[in-house]
Amino acid sequence: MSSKMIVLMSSDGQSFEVEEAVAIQSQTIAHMVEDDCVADGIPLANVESKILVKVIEYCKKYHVDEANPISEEDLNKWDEKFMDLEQSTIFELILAANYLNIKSLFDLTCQTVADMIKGKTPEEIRSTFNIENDFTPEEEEAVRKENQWAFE
Amino acid sequence: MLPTENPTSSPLSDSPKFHQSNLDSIISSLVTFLDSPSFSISSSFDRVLDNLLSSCDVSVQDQLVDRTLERLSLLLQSTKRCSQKLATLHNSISWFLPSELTVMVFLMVDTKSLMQASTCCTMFNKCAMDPLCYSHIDLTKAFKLADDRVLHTLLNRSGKQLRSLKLGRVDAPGSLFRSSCLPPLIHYRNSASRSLKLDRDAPSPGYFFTRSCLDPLKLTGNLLTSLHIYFLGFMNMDSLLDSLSACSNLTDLKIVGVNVLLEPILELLARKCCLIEHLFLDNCNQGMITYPTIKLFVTNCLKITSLTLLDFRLNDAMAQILVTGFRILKYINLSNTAGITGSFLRDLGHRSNDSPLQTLILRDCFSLQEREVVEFLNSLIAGNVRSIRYIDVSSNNGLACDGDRRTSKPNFTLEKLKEERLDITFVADFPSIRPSY
Repeated sequence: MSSKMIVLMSSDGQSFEVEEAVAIQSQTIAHMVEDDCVADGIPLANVESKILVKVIEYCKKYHVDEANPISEEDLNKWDEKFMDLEQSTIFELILAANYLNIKSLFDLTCQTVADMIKGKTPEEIRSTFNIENDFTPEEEEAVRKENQWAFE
Repeated sequence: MLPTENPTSSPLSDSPKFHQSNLDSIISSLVTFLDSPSFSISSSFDRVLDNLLSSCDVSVQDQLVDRTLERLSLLLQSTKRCSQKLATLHNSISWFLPSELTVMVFLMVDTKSLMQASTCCTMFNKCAMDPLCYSHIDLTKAFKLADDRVLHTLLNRSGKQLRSLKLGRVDAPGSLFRSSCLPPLIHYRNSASRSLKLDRDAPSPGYFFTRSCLDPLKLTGNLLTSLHIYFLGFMNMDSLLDSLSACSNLTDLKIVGVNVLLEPILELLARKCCLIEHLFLDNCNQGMITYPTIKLFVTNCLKITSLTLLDFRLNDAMAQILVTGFRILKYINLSNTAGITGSFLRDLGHRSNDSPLQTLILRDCFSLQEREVVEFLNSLIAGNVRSIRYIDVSSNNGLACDGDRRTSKPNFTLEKLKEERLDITFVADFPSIRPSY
């Protein structure tokens, strides 16, 4: 049984052939398929090839195959390995998942970053994300005081 | 060649030859000239200032000193501002998500960690103030310092986005202590600064929330779907009821360790919060309950799927209304209800298929009769109540038998039950009865 293929074109000119059923996990692409404007391929001006490769990898994994069901536990482990990436790549994935409107990937990527924030002190958070303290001393004092209860 | 200033003459900037560009070059030179081993900057400063000051009148000396200090202070502030701008720019490169997406990440961070993040940098602070970040407020993890003012601040920040709220201390030591109606005195820190005023709104001893801490909900609670309150001691019932009546979209309510009176709460839910699906009330105050209220509750709150009422003054007739009156009730827990004998189980047992009930928990119900449970088990074996999956009648005091006897080894036909109804998990733990005195 042949499956319909779509061509996705990254911002840096690379083309990727993907099954339509896999690609329409992206609501953005699904709408374009409905509107029938995919004949010449879909240009994705906001997604570069390095990121598009990861997105396609994710969509392929999550394209549920009735014959080979995957347990939730296995999927979670796969997710963990999948998200073992550099920070900037994770951010790029958030942007791509948002642009392509793939809810599960968006939630996974945001949750990964949220988990990197949870339970950390401000110094640790700054260190994790390479952020500098750009408050004036007065501003910082005021913000701390307002949220004093969280710093027990 | 820059024009030099004679300190006794009129200010240089009055001269028609002095432009903004001259000033800019002076500042630029000061900041950009490179250090060199041939001269020391600090001794140069000393030398020049000494010369200037010694060559002018006493009256002008103070002026000169003040002006120098002022200019350098301005330069210092300006440098700090520019440095901050650089840091902000650096941050926007390290963390290059636009603020809407940063807010989506912060949404998934618990309230306490969010506060830590908000003090990292100005960008995080701005995103952390977005109302969306406060849709789920959980103060149970920071019970030591959370108080009315904190709650008020967070509720203000949530705007119209508040969806769930949890406060109090989930695992208070007294939670194992069933029959007391007073919350245990727990001393956190020296609360000398929060002097206990002896008025109606004074905080209960050991707790920093006042009796009317939920008042702000009257304004922000209309889209609230979930409210969990743990061990806040004595609350002002009127204030609590007023606040709850504003939460017309409430689907999940849990109150543990607070002096709730069942009657007004059920009546309020029936009249104002008909969308309620999950109700969990763990009693700390005995109060009277009437049939009309229970019937009203059952009639109006059609969406109830799970009901837990621990340690209330219910009897069998009331239990029957509760167990059989809701159309989609799946879970019911009436543990510690001393007034029920189990006769309500007869009606439940005779219903063949129409009850959706899956879980029935009656732990530590002192008056629960062995024969009622046996009869219920028989009707299960006969195939009634097809939906039930889990039953728990465990008790530290065994079950009641005829007369005043009690048994910790009741006559249950468990093998037959397993045979006929493999789908049911039946739990009946009865540690040996200690002799009472």
